[in-house]
Amino acid sequence: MSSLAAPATLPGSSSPAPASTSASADRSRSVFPWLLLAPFLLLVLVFTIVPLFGATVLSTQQTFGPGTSRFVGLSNFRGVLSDPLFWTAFKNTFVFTLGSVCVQLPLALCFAMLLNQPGIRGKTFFRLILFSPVLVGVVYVAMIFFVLFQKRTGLINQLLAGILPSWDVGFAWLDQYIMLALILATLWQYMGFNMVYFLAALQNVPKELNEAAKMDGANWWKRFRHVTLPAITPVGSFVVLLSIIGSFQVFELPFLLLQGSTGVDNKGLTIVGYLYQTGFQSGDLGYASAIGWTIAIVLAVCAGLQRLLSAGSEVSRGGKVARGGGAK
Amino acid sequence: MASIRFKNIIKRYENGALAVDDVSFDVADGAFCVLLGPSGCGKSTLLRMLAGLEAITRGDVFVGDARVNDRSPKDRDIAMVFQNYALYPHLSVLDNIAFPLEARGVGRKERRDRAAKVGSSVQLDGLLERKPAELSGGQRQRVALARAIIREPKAFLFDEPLSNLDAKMRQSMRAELRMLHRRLGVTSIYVTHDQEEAMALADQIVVMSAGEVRQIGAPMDVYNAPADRFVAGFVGVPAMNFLEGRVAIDASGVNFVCEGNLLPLPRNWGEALRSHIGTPLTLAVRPTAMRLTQSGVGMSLRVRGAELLGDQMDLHTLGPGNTPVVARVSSRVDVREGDTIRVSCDPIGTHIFQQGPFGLRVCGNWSETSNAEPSVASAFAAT
Amino acid sequence: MKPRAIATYCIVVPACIVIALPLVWLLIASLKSSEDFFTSPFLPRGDGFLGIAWDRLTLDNFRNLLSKTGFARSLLASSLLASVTATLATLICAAAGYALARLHFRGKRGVTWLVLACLIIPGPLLLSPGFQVLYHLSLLDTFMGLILPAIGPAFGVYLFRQATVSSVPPELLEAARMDGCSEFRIFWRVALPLLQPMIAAFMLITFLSVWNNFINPQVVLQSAEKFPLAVMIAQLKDVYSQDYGLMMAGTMLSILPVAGLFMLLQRDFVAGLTSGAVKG
Repeated sequence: MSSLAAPATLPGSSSPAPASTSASADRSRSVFPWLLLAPFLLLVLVFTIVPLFGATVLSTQQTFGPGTSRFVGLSNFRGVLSDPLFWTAFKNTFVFTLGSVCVQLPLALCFAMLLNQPGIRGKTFFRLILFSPVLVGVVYVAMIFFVLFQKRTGLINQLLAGILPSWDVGFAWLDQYIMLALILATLWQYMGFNMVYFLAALQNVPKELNEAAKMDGANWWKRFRHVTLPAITPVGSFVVLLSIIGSFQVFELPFLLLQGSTGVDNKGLTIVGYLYQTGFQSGDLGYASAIGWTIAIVLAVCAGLQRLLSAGSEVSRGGKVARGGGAK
Repeated sequence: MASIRFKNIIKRYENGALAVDDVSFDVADGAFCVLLGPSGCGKSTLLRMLAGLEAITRGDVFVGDARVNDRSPKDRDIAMVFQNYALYPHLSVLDNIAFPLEARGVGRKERRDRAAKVGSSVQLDGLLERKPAELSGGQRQRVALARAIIREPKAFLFDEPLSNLDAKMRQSMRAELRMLHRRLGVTSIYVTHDQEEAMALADQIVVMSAGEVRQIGAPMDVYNAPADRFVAGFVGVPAMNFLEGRVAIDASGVNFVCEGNLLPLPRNWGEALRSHIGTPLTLAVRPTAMRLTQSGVGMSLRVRGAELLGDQMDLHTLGPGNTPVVARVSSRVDVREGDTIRVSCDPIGTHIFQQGPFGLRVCGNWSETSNAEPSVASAFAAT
Repeated sequence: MKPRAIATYCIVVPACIVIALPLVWLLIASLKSSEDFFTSPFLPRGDGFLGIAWDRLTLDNFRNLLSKTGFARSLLASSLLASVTATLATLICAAAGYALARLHFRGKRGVTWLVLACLIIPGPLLLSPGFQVLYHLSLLDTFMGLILPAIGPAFGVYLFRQATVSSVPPELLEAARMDGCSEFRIFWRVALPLLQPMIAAFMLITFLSVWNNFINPQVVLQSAEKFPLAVMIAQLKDVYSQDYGLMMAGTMLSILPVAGLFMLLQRDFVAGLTSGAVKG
């Protein structure tokens, strides 16, 4: 099928009289794909390629608002790397990413496996409930949890105090423990979403193989380790990567929960939050672009690692990536 | 309606692979031509080049008198039936059939009337409002046929149209196709790898392998006078037996000598074989041409197993030099595994080929004069 | 079998309750007066049925929301933005994805690589220079400035490319070509109907993501009368910082219509979301 309608000029046929010289029909067929692609390409050019180029230029400039700028070479990057605030933001973001990936994904996998068992009634209903928070936009999540996380009046502290008598109803979720609050709110929002991915992945587990393993006397853990895990590794490693990328760009939730501030001792400052602060509150789009590039580089390294690891796990058939994200 | 001509067609893919290598032949107006060959032999590529779905690297394709190389598929006035039916799943049967008319701007009323008429001509009454997914394989095939018929094209192309059907349905559709062709009389080109299908349907068979035409002829010619060893091995079930050896001609007659076994050949083959004395040759015998003998003539075969078919059975044996040989004999013969039997070869169904996978036919009983060169002329001369 | 099912329910049911709790709480909170807001975590206690003061639940928050704030205007803005963006993005991505999956042309490999490359560019990197581009195109503080950057997502092109590969058989396009269709007609009449499940899923995904997007309108828009719900609700906190009931009513009304709709259509939605992953 691959050479269907290859245009008249095949590379191999440049020698005398290539039989099918282009009729108008042929020409319309080679123009048409570009017509279909044109809107997309135009938009990508204006809103991705130009900004990408712009990000490179901007990162070497100091700007004051979008209109005025001056060239400063690599000093933005030097500034970023020696900026204690950047490193605070980096540390916070890293803690958040690690926390949410390591809590959320194993839980999501557990619930997916629970709901994937035969003979469980109401699967669709449970799935719907667990999935529903992802439909709630981050602004609304922040609104809800802002109230829920309040010190004395918040439902969460009140409930916890009801269950654990020693619980301090003044527990400062939104000050000292903002990262914990973020991890919990994100867990609430995205656990079911990731569960759905894992449920889809579990459909790839070969039934016969599981049954054969059962007949061979493999216990639950052995079957999970040698049948289930290898089968879900491709999707699993993709989900891990997506979660890392998503978590690393966390910004809106702390921004809204902390009402635009960065929290006590900058405990709620994330990298993208810092980017936003420098670019749109202080007006230095150049410095912001330099931060943007550091984010891009970190994520590219993560994606590269994921590729390496998933290639490795394919060789060893052990599902290293899923374990890397899961067994903590 | 129109005749179709392929003239020195070459297809080379962008990766350099040669799919069709200098193929030329004609299909007469109203004929049913079957392109027969194993998968990957270039037969489908040839068909797709005729359809305009694949660019032609070199050569010319004519429909009637018109060279159609440069025409887009829709301007070639050819309809095609695809292997997987290629029905539009979101359209009803009626709309599927009417689709070519819709694409040509025929009004809604007229195209629906015509589609209903064509639909009923292929026994689709009562199914016209269904979606393709609600039809059986045979019914889908009929819809695909109707969609081709409604255009009243100059030619029909069929790309392995029956291979997705079960064996029974395949047989009945085969008969229907044959009748349809009789009724409409439209030039048809049909691609298949199933030689039975080719035998049953064709006026003219074009056997292809490795991008080249091996033989062109009427079904009985291809079966009874295979042009080369490839055709001999490809056409006929069970496949021909091949034995390597030499020809000896002496006072006792013409014999094929194979690992010490002497197989007598008809005396009148001597002339054709004389120039090949001493060169290695291949004897080809259809399993149905094996005759059990009591006397000392013929070759001895060691029976390894029997496959009962009813009246007859296939004996799987080892012949001279441990070559596997299949013999189809009456199932009343009492033979067991491990027995040794002696057989001779009926001259009808026996051929001598030059050595090699494409060794040309030296002689056989059907047409001694054939020069065995694969060409239209020879194929028609043999008729 | 049985004890295992029970154990499963023992885990899954509480989990569902925990997940549902904030949303249930939100519904109740939006119905409470400010006096009751902090005094009772859920429904206000009293002497009504089940010991709850049903009569103290009120729709005042919703009334205030509609009269005092620009909620209705923002609802309109959100609906407009989300539906226009979803429609255009679907058309553009379907066309490009189809071309990349099933048409043959010079430069296809290059465009495919471009799509994949765009997929891995993190959004924040483009935030500042994108803002500059909008500034130079005079698109700041306009709806166009929100719509245009959102209607050509590489992610959508990729999804449609995969969907076309798996659900538009090439023979069908060839059949249509032989039946006399123009290339455009093949795309419109044959390919698009076959892509219908992905079209539904992608429209839903895009609609929802625009509806819920906060950062883009926050950056691009300046005039309050243009704010979509996400920005408007976020700002309620600054303006009515003590009126939690009002804020919760606004949140409730912003989530409910879309979330309800999407729960009904979740099958399509989930199928669309996961199809990208399974092939990725």
